Amino acid sequence: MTDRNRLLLIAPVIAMFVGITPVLGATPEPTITPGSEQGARAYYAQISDQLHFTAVPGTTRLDDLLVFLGYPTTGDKLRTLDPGVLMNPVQAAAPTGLSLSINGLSGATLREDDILATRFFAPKIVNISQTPLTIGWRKLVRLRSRPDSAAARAGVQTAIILFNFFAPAGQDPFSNQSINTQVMLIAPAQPKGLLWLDFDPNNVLGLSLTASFDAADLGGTRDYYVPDGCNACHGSPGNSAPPMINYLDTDHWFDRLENDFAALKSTNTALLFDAHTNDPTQGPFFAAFDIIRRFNEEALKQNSIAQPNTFEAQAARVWLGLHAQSDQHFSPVDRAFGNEKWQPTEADGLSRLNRYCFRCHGSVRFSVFDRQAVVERAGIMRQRINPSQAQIRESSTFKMPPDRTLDFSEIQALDEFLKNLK
Amino acid sequence: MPTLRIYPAIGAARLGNSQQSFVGPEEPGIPGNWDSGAQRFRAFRDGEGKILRQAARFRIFQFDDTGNAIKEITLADGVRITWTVHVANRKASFFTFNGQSGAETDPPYTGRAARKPDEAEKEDRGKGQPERKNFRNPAVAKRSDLEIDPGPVSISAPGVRELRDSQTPAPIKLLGHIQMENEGHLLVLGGFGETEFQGPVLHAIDEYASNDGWFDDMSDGLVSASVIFPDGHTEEAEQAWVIVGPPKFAPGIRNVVSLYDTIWDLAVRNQMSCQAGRDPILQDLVAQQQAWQNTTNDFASAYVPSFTQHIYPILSRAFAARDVHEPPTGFPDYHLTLPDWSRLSQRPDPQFRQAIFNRIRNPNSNVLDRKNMPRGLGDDYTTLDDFEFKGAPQPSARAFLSLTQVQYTLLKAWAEGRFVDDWKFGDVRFAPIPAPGIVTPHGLDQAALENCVGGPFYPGIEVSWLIRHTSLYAGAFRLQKAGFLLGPLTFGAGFFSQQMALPWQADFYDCHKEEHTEDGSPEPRIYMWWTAQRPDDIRAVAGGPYRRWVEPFDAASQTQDPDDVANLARFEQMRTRWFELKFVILDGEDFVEEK
Repeated sequence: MTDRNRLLLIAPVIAMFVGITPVLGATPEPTITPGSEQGARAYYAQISDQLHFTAVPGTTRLDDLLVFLGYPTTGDKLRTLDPGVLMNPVQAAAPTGLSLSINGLSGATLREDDILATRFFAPKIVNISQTPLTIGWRKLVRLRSRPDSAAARAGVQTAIILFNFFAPAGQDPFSNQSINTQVMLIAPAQPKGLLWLDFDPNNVLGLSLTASFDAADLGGTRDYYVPDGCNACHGSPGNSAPPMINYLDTDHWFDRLENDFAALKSTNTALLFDAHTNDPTQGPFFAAFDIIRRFNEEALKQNSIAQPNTFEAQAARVWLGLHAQSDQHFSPVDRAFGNEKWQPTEADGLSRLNRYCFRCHGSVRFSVFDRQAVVERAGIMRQRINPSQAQIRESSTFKMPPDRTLDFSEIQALDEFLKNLK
Repeated sequence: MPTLRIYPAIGAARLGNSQQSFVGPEEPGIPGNWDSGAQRFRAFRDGEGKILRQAARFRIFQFDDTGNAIKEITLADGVRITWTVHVANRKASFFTFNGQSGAETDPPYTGRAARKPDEAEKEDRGKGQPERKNFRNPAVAKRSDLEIDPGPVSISAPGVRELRDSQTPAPIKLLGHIQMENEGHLLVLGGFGETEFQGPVLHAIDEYASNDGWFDDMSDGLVSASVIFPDGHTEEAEQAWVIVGPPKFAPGIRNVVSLYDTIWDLAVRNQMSCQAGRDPILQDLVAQQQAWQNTTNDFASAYVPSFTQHIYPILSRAFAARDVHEPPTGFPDYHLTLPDWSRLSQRPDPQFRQAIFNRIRNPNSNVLDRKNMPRGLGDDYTTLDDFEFKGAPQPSARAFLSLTQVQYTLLKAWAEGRFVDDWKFGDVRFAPIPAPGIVTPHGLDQAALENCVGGPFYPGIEVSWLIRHTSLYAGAFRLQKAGFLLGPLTFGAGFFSQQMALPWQADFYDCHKEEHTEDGSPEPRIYMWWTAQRPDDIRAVAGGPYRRWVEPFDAASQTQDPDDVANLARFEQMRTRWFELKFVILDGEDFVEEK
């Protein structure tokens, strides 16, 4: 039987099983490792000991963490202040700024690059199985631990705070609450070198983030607990390796305007929100893009220490190489890396991988931009997008992608593309 | 001239603590104690919950000169049959087990035999690895006092006889029973899983394989038969061998490398003599012998394997490991690329096959490969242990289990598209267990051995690495007539079991899954030993949560770490409570714990 015939024959089966609770299959489970409440509590207890910072779920606030880092201010200020204000040391002490006492710690003053902040479109956090889509946005604030802070004494060099916002296309998302606020503490001297915390919309320490990685399979969002859920997408599946910071892929954001986020494109909203434009020739775009570039340089530095030879680090290098002198949007084919580069004739297929798979396979196990990695996995990927009944029955996590239900025609197109890869 | 041969040439009995028993597998693909009519396993326990012993049934077949079985000889033919069984347990007088120590010479153990019994063989490493001497019980001068040898025991009429050594000073005397059935078949039943300590001060079991003062009732040995025909002439049948193992706690699941695969591999690569006659399986063996190229470790391209016969068994066993081994954290879908038999058996679409083959460890390579499959520990585990605890150089490539060279080559041919697409079962989890058919001589060999472990031999479950010594074989699957010397060793009763763990429960506890994640690994590396005999993890219901198979022993824990090898209480728990552990049996399409 040819593959095509096989696809046709099992199409009703796919329609029956894919994306809904399988009648005959395994109990739906998340594909992305969710971790557990118990594990998260144990983790917080462990990092409390490590850092001498009291991380108590339900009690500890983001404000406490900011004090720990040497920034006695509030999480709300961090969330609401314009990045331009946040990054300006001159405004740090002002009531309209962070209200920081900049000389408060052994006379240390806020330095020029102590705070990095940017806001941007975040397709990665969107529940792609919903119609219409609610657009996801993020505000990233990177704080360097102030020299005499408790964090600095504990070896925490920087904190990366990610606020997550949602709003319909065309609406200002940043006036909303942050649904989850994720924190990475970069502490190279500590075991694993990167530690996780997660805060709820009220800035209170929580055990998990609520996310839509498995939304199609599970019928909606679910909780992913620290640290397992975080490590899964940050280079440490099974918590075996030092986790890594993921670089910000501006090019991917612009790619997605051409498919799932056409509605966002029609509103002409700036994806680099602080640029107020998507025109890379405009000055504000330069400035906003440069913040991303600086962050990605730092991400690569961390990657190079944690796991220097990984695809994640390689992808960050590629982004930085392409954007060393350019703020332009580079096409997926231009962003290929590895021993074998994607060819222009493969652009359609790569575009599908980028659209359907990159959300995870930009940072989990392999990158779709590494052609050789895809070729090596092509057979398995074909099984994943079009599993046998036995595979469906065995595990709800086998089918890919887990976050949306692919049209049958798209399954066919992906299958054909992957099948012909050599 | 017609000849008589006993089949299986190597039969497998298994111990149990019940007086009752069941007959071990006799047809390929049909597990022991399987009720084909009801499509489920019969009970593995008696009314008191004790584990049934698995009997090895032996039969006599008459062959013509071309290797075809003329008929099975039974008492209904008017013959008089005298079966003689000579098993023994020589574990306590043998060398300590220390991985491949002893295998470096040919004949084996030549170097160790030249050393003093009390010479140190392995240094004290703590953590359940105390110092071990060259010999077990080195202080005992009269070595025969350490042996349990009932001598040859014969039976000439339906009935039962004990395999008892009344003379030995060892604390265990009984190694099992033999029984002649009304048809004239022989049943060999092993021990009851008994262990005893003998010595002035009780020495707790503190090591996985060699514990001085301890004795058990495992055994192995030769099975012979003489047949007096109605015309008065007598013929001796070609000798067979019986091995005795622990219960197979996952009776429907096989090891990815079975003992059948190991001996088949020896037979192919060493061109062991084989009269195939009309037996299609043996004809296949001969075809593989003819196609095998020792220079390339490959088959000539003329040889074309069958997906159903050659490929599916390997892959399905790997897949079945999911029912006895919990997926590693973060990797819930391990081995899930396998149950896609329809596509894996399609010749025109190589990607699926190549993706799988690319993950198979190459048994011909001497390069250490931690990543690929099988995710199992190997014969040379000692080098991994030395690496991790002593800072020794890189472990040997043999620290991890590989498929046999023949298995690997079959998969290679499959990956390359050189195979027959003969899959007919569709999109199923497993092919159905075949319906019973005709018992054939070689089918008895296969059925017995495919349910035994073919590796790793560290030391193993039923036999260890001595089984691979080619000089022991008279031909494919048949051992030489006993009684000759192999260097310092005598090939006779107790030859294979002497290498095995003493007492058997020590290794049966200790060989659970192990983590050996190397620095920089992108994933945790969890390796198995023999999950199909001794499960790592089991489930009460299909798709349900796993629990550690030996969880009932946790109450005796001295530490929080269930895998802590220093936790000697667990050895004792296994020694005294092994029969409480659950069997994993087929329920619908899934293997779950017995109710």
